[in-house]
Amino acid sequence: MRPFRFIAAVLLLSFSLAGCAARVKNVTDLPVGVTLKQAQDWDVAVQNLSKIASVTTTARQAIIELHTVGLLKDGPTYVTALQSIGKVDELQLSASTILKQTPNNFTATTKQQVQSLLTQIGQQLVLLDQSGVTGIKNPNSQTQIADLIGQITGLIGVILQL
Amino acid sequence: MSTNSPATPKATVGTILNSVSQIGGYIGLAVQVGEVLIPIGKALVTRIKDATTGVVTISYQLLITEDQAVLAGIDSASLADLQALNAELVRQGAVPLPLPPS
Repeated sequence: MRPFRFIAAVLLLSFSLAGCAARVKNVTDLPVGVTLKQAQDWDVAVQNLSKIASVTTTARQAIIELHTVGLLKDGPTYVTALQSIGKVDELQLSASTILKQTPNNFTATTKQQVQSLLTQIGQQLVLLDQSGVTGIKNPNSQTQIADLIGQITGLIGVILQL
Repeated sequence: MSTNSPATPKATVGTILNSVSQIGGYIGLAVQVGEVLIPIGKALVTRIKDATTGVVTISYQLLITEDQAVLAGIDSASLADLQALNAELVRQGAVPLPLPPS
C-alpha cells in the first residue's frame, strides 16, 4: 500500500513540476558562443537544484524531529536514514560546484555530469525510502517523509529531462 | 446618445519595456506631482517580468549573478545539513560523513 502511495506522490509531483520547468526565462545579451538553450538549461538546473536543497533540508529536519519525539528509534534504520540524507547533501555540493564552474560552458558533457550526480541522489532517496520511511512508526509521518522524497524525485526528473 | 470610448493604446507598458530591454536601453524613472513630471533617475533595464505570460526576460549577466547567489545558498544549506546530520551520527556512535574542505 505504501509503495503505491509513494509512486502516486512522485507522479503527481512530476506532472506539476513539469509545468514549472516549462516556464524558462528569456535571456538577452548572450555572449558569443553561448546559446539561449544553454543559458536556459543552466538556469533550470540551478533553480531546481536549489529546490532540491530546500526539500532535503526539510527532510533532514523532519527525520531528526521524528527521532527526537520517539517516532523513529535509535539504531541502524535511523543511521541509514541520516547517512542517505547526508549523501544527498554531498551530491548537491558536487552538482553546485560543477554548475558554478560552467555558466559559460553548459555543454552536453557538463549536463551529463550534473545529471549523473542527480541520478545518484535518486539512488540515495530509494535507500531513504526503504530504511528511514519504513522505520517510522506513525503512518502520517511516513506519508510526510514519502511526500518529501517524492518532491525531490520530481525535481530530479526535471533536470534529467534537460 | 453616444459616449466616447477611450482610445485603444497602441502598445502596452510590457511591450515597451520589452523593446527597451532588448536593446539594453535605459528607462527613466519619474514621479508626477500635479502636472509636473520630476525625474528621479534612470536605470538599466536588465530584468522584466511579463505580467500576462509570467515569462521573465533577464540579461545574461544578471542571470549569472543571481544564479551564482542561488548556488552559494545551496552550499550553505547542504553544509548546515551535513553538520546537523554528523552531530546525530556521532550521538548514534556512527562515523560522521566527511565535510568538504572549506
